[in-house]
Amino acid sequence: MLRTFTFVLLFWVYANAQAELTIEIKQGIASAIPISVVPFALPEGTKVPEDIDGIIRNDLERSGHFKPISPDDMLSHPNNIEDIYFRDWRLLKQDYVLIGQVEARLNDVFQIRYQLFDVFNEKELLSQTLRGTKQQLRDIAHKVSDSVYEQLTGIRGAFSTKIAYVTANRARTNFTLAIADSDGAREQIVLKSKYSIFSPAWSPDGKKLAYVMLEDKGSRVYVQELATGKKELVSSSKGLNSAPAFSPDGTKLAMVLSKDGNPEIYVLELATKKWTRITKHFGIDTEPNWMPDSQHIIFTSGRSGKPQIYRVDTQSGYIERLTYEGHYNARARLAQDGRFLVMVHQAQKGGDFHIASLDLTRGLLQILTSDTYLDESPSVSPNGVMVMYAAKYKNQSILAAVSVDGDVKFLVPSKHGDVREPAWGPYKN
Amino acid sequence: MRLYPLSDPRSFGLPILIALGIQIVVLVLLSTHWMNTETHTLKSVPSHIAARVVQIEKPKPKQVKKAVKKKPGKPKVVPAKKTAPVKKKKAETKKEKPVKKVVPKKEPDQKAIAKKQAELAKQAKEELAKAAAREQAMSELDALLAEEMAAENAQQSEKDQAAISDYASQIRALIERVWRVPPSAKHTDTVLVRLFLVPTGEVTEVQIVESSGNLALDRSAEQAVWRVGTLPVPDDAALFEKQFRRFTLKLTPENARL
Repeated sequence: MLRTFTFVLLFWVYANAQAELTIEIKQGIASAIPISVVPFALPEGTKVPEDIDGIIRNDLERSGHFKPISPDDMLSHPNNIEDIYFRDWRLLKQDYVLIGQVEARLNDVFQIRYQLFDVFNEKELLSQTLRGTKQQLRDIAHKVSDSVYEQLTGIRGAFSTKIAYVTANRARTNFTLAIADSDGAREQIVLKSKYSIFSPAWSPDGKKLAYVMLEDKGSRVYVQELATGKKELVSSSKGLNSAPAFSPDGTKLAMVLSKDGNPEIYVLELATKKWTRITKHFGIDTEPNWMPDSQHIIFTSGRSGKPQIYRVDTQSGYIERLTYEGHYNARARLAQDGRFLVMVHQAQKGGDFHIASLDLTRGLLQILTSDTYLDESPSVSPNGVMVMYAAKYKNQSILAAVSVDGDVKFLVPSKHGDVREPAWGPYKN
Repeated sequence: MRLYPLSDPRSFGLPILIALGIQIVVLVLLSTHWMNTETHTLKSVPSHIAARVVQIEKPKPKQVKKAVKKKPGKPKVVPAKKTAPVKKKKAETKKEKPVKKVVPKKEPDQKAIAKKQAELAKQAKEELAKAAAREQAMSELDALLAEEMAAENAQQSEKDQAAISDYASQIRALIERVWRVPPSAKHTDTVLVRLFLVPTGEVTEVQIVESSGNLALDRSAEQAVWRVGTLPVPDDAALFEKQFRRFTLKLTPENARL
């Protein structure tokens, strides 16, 4: 009693003594950070096969959180701290400046050194020296982007990650499963087939891809190792075999089977090959995706008449409906440790299909896309800030990406006819 | 009183009571602003008030009159300056009278002397009474002045408060327009930043007083201040010194996505 009284008194006195004026600021803006990535100094006599600072500028701009200025608009192109006149950069309204040098070493090895400066405080925030062969220069550039991004936004960068997607020729007679850098560069073909390929899904270690192939005898689910190309048939039961999803701990694969009459969610334990049926409902249950705890699964179900997102506890079987807003919500993926659902959303009957994000803790729904139509298969970057999706644009299936703030949209370049079903890979460790 | 050995918990009783007493005394002293810097600011305030009040504030004299009317017994008080000359004249006449009366003293007339003495006594009495009245009037005047001053102070502080909130909202608007909240910020995060300004409003130093725990958010707050660079502050030097020489921004990105 006495103690609380004393505490209260002390607190009051403290508050009194702190009678300094305090102004509360409760709103900020979500606009992109101005940053200058100065062209790196290049070694004399040796050609550097990649435009490193260009890749960094491109990465940062695509994230939607940065607004790099063009090198032509810079007043100078310093490569050393002594040559930086911070006043000039303040005049250009730049918050940060990134400078760097590329040096050629023996055996086609390059050394890249970069420094990031805070223009207002005129101090260095980050500096690093990286080395690699000419094949690794793109990786190095993405690594620099990752470090800069994390330093300035507080979110881990995901520029070094890969994406997987399916392409098809116009006649739809040839299909490929491919992976590429998150900016669409350095495409590698994983699989070519005359059968349609669907639903590529990454294993959490980034070493395997699960996918569905629609063969003559029906759909099959395969898991393929990327390094060796070795593929394993994991499911070929009667009827539908589709929508594989690895659990975050990598031990289980969830998928949809219709061997019992209508599509239901099943879980396969990869080590023991033990199957567990998760849902039992006459409505369609499909498109499973794991929560970070490897125990709960979110899925699309038509049990209420229209597709909506539900969550099931694989241990207890307890099911909870997550989406109520909108006529149609499907193909949900999770972002930010399961806090956000990113899904295909149709506001009302007959409306356009767009990608929307639903904050499960605050219940806020935000529609992210508007320029494209028939938006489908959203896939979230592992840091939860970007969504890649397939859409119709000028009568072609293309990949597009949008930041979860809905600010920046860009189209992923592709040489192919139709590109669909993007799957954003995990962090490379 | 029994003294217990130190090892006995009962021996703590008296020291605890004494300690508590000291604490309470200190608390009371602290809460009465006995060591606040306000004394300094109060000193500089009146000169400014005098200048301002006369020029801008017309209702001021009315207030004084009203205050005077409230005390109907002493209406003489109003012309405070006039009482002073009267006093002087009386003092002069007082001095003159004895001089004149010195001459008739050469013809000793005891009755007259007695009469004059009585008169003098009477006069002295009157003087005393007048002096007392004057004294009373003066003290009344002092009280009135103090009252007036208090009213002025209250009015001034009211005006100050209005000015402070006006400048604060201008500063808030400027900062909100340039504060780029990083995407990692949570809507519940709070960062406290202390600013140091010169009287032109230019920011000379920014300190993170209380981190949000998110370095990117802390830096964004700091940068927002630098980006504005010069803040609107009152021209009134006293008010600037008191509130805007250094103050705190409490930043909470309530519109953040997370």
